[in-house]
Amino acid sequence: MKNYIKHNLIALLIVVTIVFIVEFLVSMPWWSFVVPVVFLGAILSYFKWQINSFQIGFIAGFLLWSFINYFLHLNGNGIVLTKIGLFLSSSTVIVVLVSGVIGGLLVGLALYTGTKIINVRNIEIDDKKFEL
Amino acid sequence: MNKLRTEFIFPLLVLILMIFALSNQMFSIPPLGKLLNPFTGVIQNDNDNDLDNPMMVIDKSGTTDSVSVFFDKHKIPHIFAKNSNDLFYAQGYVTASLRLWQMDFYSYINAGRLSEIFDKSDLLDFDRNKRRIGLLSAAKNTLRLIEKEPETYKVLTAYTRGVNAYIARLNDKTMPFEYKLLDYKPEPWSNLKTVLVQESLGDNLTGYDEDYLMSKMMLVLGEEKFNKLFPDFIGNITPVAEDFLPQQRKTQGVGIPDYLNYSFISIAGKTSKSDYNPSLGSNSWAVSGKKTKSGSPILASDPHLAFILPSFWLQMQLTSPEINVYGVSIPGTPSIIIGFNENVAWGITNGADDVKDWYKLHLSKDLKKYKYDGKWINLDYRVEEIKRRNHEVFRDTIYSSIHGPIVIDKSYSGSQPEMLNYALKWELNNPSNAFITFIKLNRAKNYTDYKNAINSYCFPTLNFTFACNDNTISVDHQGRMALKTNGVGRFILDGSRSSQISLGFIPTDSLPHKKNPSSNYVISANQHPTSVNYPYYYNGYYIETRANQIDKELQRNNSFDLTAMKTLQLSTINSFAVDALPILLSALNQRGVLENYKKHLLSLRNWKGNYDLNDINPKLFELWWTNTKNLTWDEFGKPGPLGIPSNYVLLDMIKNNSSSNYFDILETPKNETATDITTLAFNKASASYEALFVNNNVKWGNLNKISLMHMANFKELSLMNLPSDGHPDAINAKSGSWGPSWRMIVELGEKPTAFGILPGGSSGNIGSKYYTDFVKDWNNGGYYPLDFYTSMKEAAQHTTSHWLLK
Repeated sequence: MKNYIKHNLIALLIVVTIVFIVEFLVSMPWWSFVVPVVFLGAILSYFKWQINSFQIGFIAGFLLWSFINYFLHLNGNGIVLTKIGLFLSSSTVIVVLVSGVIGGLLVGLALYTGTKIINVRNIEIDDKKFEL
Repeated sequence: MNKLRTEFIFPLLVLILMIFALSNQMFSIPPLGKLLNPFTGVIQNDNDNDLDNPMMVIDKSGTTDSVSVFFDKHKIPHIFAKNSNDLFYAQGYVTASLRLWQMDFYSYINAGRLSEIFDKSDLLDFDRNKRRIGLLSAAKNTLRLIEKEPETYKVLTAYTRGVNAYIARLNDKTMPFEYKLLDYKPEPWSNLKTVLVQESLGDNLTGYDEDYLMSKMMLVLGEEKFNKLFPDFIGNITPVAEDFLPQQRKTQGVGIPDYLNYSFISIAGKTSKSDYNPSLGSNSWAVSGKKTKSGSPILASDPHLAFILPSFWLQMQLTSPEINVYGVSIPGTPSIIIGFNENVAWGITNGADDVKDWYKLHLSKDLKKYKYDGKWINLDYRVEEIKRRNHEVFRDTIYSSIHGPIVIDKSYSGSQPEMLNYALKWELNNPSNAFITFIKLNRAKNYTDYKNAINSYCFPTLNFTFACNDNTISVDHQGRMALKTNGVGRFILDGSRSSQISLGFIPTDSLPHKKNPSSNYVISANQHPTSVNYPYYYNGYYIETRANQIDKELQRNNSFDLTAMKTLQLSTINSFAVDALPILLSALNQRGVLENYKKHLLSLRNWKGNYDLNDINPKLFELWWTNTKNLTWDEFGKPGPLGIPSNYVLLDMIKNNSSSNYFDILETPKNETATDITTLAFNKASASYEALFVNNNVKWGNLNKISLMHMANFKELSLMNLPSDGHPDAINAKSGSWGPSWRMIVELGEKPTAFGILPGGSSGNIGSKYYTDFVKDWNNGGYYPLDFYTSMKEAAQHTTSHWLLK
């Protein structure tokens, strides 16, 4: 059980770091962070980490998108998100939450996709076969 | 060995679909993933990091020597370059960094390319219209002309390279807001794009015409009545130019053209409202030192244009060893358009001449040929490709005759279907180089330099006002004015005869002008350029009210200073109301006014014609006058603002011909007079006026609300419904969607002292603090001192941000 929580927390941290780094270091299409996240999912499942991949990814994405947007909104001029809010007939906070949900869905789905690429049980069997 | 499973395919597909959906505009929802991701989305535009940067070094910028750009507290750039090539290069770079999307969007509008940006079917008609009236082909022709003029070509090319240096530095993160919102990318800038942007002025200022309507009016009314109701000149005018000896031109009034009859033109069809606003105007005047406290001349200029965001103009100072000039530029074009330097100041207003005519063609049955002097001539044609977002390319075939392009034909009805198969002859389609005029004006030192700069100027006709610190003042109605016989240009022309073609232009030295007049002031405010005595015939869409009012005020005072000039530029007095009120009041039958409306009459009697925020009289006057007009001109049907005689014609009738048949209301058996009409109109006006009281909405500020519209017409990005003072016929011409787009007052002397303000801000970034930061002060009649630096040292001392282009 302890391991389970630890794995989830570590996975969350890794996802946040990866997305953050990819977006800040590389000038690529806005969605390019999903690629390493998919790989991460595959790697984690290869190492048999038991994580709630979608939930963890969602939380990571939600926090990153909404937090950074809101942080920049508060530290910037605070104009742009308000204008976007007008387009969506909603308030700035809703815009921030919407951005969080979008980020969450994308990262969550990416991590989930990754964990489904490799069939963990088959690997176990294969490993045993290899030992034999 | 079955390591891979298929289970991941479904979530992967969902993921890909989601990314796709969030990257593209869906229905009216913008691409949310692109916009809202915090790393490259719009939140990255929510700052002024560059503008507030105390020192930003821009390496490998492409300049030949280092260029310093200082931003003052209003973030107005002051560019210091060591040669003029670098100067215009830097102007391009800095303008792009402040206004790239705006200038680029202008070039799309005028090239008829909006369909490339928006997936909206109604924009195809818009684009086709721009191509058909010839904006794109005219720009290409103008560019060819400019390429032969070395100095202009050099300046334009330097500017273009500067813009492109900025574009090359952009990335997903720093991309201007609108590109993210509308999901496209800036294309490289070009000299053609510069020419296209410059066309905005000519298109907006000379697009309006009444040829079709006036042809109908002439047919219906006949010569005598037409000349009475739609005269070329009205009594009370203050022409731009000096007067000429009387009677040099023999005939007054216009005759009915011999071809104009009921088979030439149908009077039954409706006349569409023009796409253009004929009230776009401007004020500019100069007074010599003999009328100022300081002894130095003062020049004022406030061009009235449509209110847009980002603001139409961009303020800046341009400095190199040959030039030191301050003023406003049009983002997308080099040099300063209205401004001043150490020695001279200049302003511009629309010349308002009619330089747009329509020719009715005699077409063959297959619509491929037209008859010209008895011979059949093939129509030329060209095919314009209009690229469309998410749709196939649209190919538009545009036919043209010797007179010009056929705008409306069987494939395109546009907004004026009645102009079917007419050819458009528009001075805009005649290539000319306006850039060199402004480049030379920027470095003019005296009257000779000024004259030399404007002499070659062609289009659109402008009134240039000029003041020099040696106390020379001047106004010049400059541009190509076709030589015409009486009445030509007011009506649809017969395209089947060569005799209908103009033989050239009024010689430059005969154009209307006035230099150092004994009155010691010059005025231009879209009024008639000359009195009726001018030896050449011309016509246009002139407005006399503002010029008359400016004249009155300038006469009155002999010791002007900058404060008095500000007061004058902000004057809300409508001189038409001042002229009309006593005439209406004396025509009115007081006993006919309903008892409970008499208090309104009393209130109006004490009104001085001011359209101020809290004044309750302007609305009453407006209602009274509108009702008077509608009741009088009931013979003309209910054409709204179209096709009724001008205000002064009616006013003159009320005063001098009160029993005119036009006052008779057709529906009643009685034969009404001016007295009956004005009295009835007053009662009607009072009734509507009291209805407004219910909402407490009679204060002028609550009724005269102005809106600054974002260029792409997004309400969310606009400033809407700001209560304002002013009136189109007052010097302070704030009204609805247009008005003073720049207010400038300059006192020359040892060093110029100047004030100015524009409705907007320096930055074109919607997320910037400097996007609309001037608007409140502008709307309240405020001005900012314009910092004119004579050295880099001075600039460095007085500014807080510095960009160094290396």
